[in-house]
Formats: sequence, C-alpha cells, structure tokens
Amino acid sequence: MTELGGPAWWITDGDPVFDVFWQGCKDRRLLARRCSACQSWAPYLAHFCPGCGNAGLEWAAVSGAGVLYSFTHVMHAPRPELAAAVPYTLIMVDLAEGPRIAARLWPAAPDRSDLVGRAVLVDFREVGGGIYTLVFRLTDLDGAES
Amino acid sequence: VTSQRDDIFIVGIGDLPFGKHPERNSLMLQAEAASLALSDAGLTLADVGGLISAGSRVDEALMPQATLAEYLGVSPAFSLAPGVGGASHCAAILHGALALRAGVVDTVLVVAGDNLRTGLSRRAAQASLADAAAVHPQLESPHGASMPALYALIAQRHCSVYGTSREQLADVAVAMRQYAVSNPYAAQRSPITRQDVLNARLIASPLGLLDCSPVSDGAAAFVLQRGDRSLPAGAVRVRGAAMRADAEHLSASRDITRTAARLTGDAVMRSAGMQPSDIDVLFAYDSFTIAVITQVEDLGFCAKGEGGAFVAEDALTLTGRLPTNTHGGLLSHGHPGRPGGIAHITEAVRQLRGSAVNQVDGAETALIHGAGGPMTAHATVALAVA
Repeated sequence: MTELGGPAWWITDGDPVFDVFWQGCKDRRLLARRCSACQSWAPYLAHFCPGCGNAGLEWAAVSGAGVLYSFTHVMHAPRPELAAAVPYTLIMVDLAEGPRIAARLWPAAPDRSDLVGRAVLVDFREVGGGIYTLVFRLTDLDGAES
Repeated sequence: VTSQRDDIFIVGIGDLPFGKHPERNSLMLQAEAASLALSDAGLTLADVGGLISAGSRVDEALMPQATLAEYLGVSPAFSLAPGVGGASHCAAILHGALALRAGVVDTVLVVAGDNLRTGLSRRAAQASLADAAAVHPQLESPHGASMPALYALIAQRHCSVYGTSREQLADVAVAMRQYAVSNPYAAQRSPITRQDVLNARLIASPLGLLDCSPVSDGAAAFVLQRGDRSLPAGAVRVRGAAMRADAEHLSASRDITRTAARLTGDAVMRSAGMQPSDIDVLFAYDSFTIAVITQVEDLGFCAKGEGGAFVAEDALTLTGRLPTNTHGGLLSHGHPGRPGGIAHITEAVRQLRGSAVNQVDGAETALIHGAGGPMTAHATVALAVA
C-alpha cells in the first residue's frame, strides 16, 4: 500500500472507455472527452456533445492546467484501505479546457482553508502494481508555503 | 372534507421508532410500518391496490417491491421502487398520484424500512456508503471520495463562495437535536450545543461527525387515496409533487451549490398556487447539515448564498422563522439508508393533523423535499390540511 491508499480497492480496470483514461495517466497524459465533429470539450460523463449533439466523443489530451473548484480534507477514512492515507485533500478542478474532474491535491494540505480558486497543474503518481493516477499540485508556490 | 375525484390524499401513516431493532430484519420492519399505516387509514391488506417500496441496502433485492409484496401476501396491480435514493419518499407521492388518477388502482401503500444500523456491521455500513453507486467508480471513488466527502465538497464551495460558516452549519444540527430530545421515536436524544458540533471530530472538512446523519434502523409507511374514496378524519391533501433526476454524480454538476431543487420547488409551488411564505413547516432532506442550507435557498425561502444566515441561531426551531424537520430529521431522528426521509412525510402529516410532539401552532401547509445521491436527484411535495 502507498500513501495514496491502494491498490487493493482500486478496481477501475475492465471498463472499455475508462481503460484508455488510466493508460493515459501511466503515459503521463491527462485525457478528456472531445467532440470529433466540432472539437468542443465535453463532460467526462456524456455520450453526446453538448455543443452540436454529435455522438462521436473521443479521448484527447488536455494541458493539465486548471483552477481548484472545491476541496475537502478527509480526516476519517471511508474504508479500511485508506486508513494510512488520511488526512488527504480531495479536490475538484475546472480544467482550462472546461471539463471538471476530481482528484487528490498533492501533497495534501490539511491546514489550508484558502484553496478555492487556486491554480493547479496535473501530475501523475504510481498507486502500486503499475497503476498510475492523476493528482494536482498547486502552481502558486508562495501560496503553498503557508 | 370536500374533494374532487383527482384530488390526492394521504389517509394513513405508520412509524416505528428509529434507532436499533436488532430483533427485526428489513422486511419485518417494513411490514410492521405498513400494518400501522393501513390501520391508521381504517384499511386492511386486502385494500392494497398499489405498492411502492424503497427497498433495503441490507437485503438487496432485484425487485424490492415484489419482495415486499410476497412478504405481505398482496398482489398489487401497480408497484415500483422509485430508485432515486433520498428523493424516493417524495417521488413515491408523484408516482402514486399518477397511478391513482389514471384509475389503475384506488389505494397506494408506500413503505420504507431498513436495518442499516444492526443489520450490517458498522464497518460494512461505512463501506456500503463509500461504495454507493452515486460515487463514480472511475472519476470519484479512486481518489478517496465517499458520500460524506462529496457533501463536504459542496459545503466547502458554499463556505468559500458565500462565506457560510461552520457555526451556521452547526446550528442546523443543534435545531434538529432540539426536536429529537422531546421525540421518543428519535434515535439521538441527548441535547447538544453549537460548541459540541464544532468540537466533534472532523470527518471531511468542513463537516464534523455531528454534521452527518447517524446510521439507524427504522421504518415508516403511508397510504395514498383519490378524492372519490371516503376519506378518514386524519386525511391530508397533496397540493403538488414534482421530481427531477437528471444526474447521479456530483462530477456531472456544473454548480454544486445550485441544485434542481430550484426546479422541483418552483413546479410544486406553482401547482399548489403557493409561495414559500405560505409554508408553515418545512421538511428538508438533512443527510448533512449543508443540505438544509442549500435547500432553503433553492426552494426559495432566501436568496442563493444567504442560506447560512437564514438557518443560523434558532431559525429552524419551533420559535424560529421556519420550523424545520420537527421530528428531528435525518440528523437526529435517524437515517436508516434506503428509507431516507419517509419519516419526514409521516411527521408532516402529524403536523397538519395537529398531533405532532413538537407541534407548530396552527400548521396548515408543509413542504417536503427529498434529495438523492450527493443532492443530484430531487423531488418536492406540498401538503396541506384537507
């Protein structure tokens, strides 16, 4: 088990759509859904392009830059496998391209209460067993030193 | 009571105390509540034309409504499991009203009961909630998201954008507990103060243990009928019902502090010809303290962002501006899992009958809201004296 708390419960494989996303993490590329017709970025959970209605959404790499939308410092592990991982900071990020995604803030910042609106950049970490996940780091280094 | 054929009434209610029922399984809890509700309505099992069941987390069934029908020994001509989590108790009234008005059945029994507290070990109950389908297995769960953490994301966004404080969140929990202290059917009856809520250990910031509803055992049921039936003295009128389930996952929501309760609340108010100021008692879905704050905003009792100030101090108590969850709510009356807020409905009926333990003087109207998942599915109901 790593400080991320895995991979014993980390069963994400076997989904033909999201397998590509996790392989992207291993290749250090953050993927999002993009319309093959109008090139709009779409939410992760959609079949039709919200812009033009086209059903041809495909994986495409995003910059990995975004703004922290909300966060919580998780103090109580929701499952035993995460006991060694608390406290950790769960965040939601609005990617520069538009889609929103959840991840951990890395490193966790359990003493910070001023994180909403901060600039973040994606990074990738091994969970264990050759599985990689996305995390985000604060890019405003002064802000990170409190 | 004067009524038209298409008017819909709640004609009977039944409640078991919430807390621990180690000697009963989920179906037994459901059957006992059903029995109480039918008897309150002056009906028997033979009168059950339609059956709506929320099912059980402990005893998962492929067809929960059929499982309950076989256990009760009834053969309903209309049945369903609403499948919208904590919005199910309100959605059941919309579904039931449609079946009654269509003439498919003359009576609909709505039942919910589960033994999440004693039927599952504490740890298993926790894991069950962490694995709840509403936490996305690819986008949320791998990062350590759980239902409390998702509500915490909503709460933190609300605090950061609107300046809502932990003290304001705490005041919701204190008000719920104040009602529960005098309600023998409530699971949590020791008085608490704002400081107790603030001092409780943090689960997921800014939510502490007492900002979260406690896992309980419990059951409740109610009976719906059309206005062309002979109505018992305790009948309460359904003035409106609406639902909106257009997302399951919090990741799919663009603004997590603005929910579809705005749409369901507005639809119900319009069909009832009422405004928020006409509501005497509110039943908000208080799975977590933040939920009440967003709901008083989204249901139109105050502007977006003012919910924290609206609920602060004693605003939700009997002497406050908007008595809310007078049985103690999910936060102190208890949360048995699937049944969610069904006790919100039975308590609303008692308020309109004038027979509640914590009675709001002269209550004639009640608004009930249910929210499933991390406040992604919504249903609202307005009730009034017959």
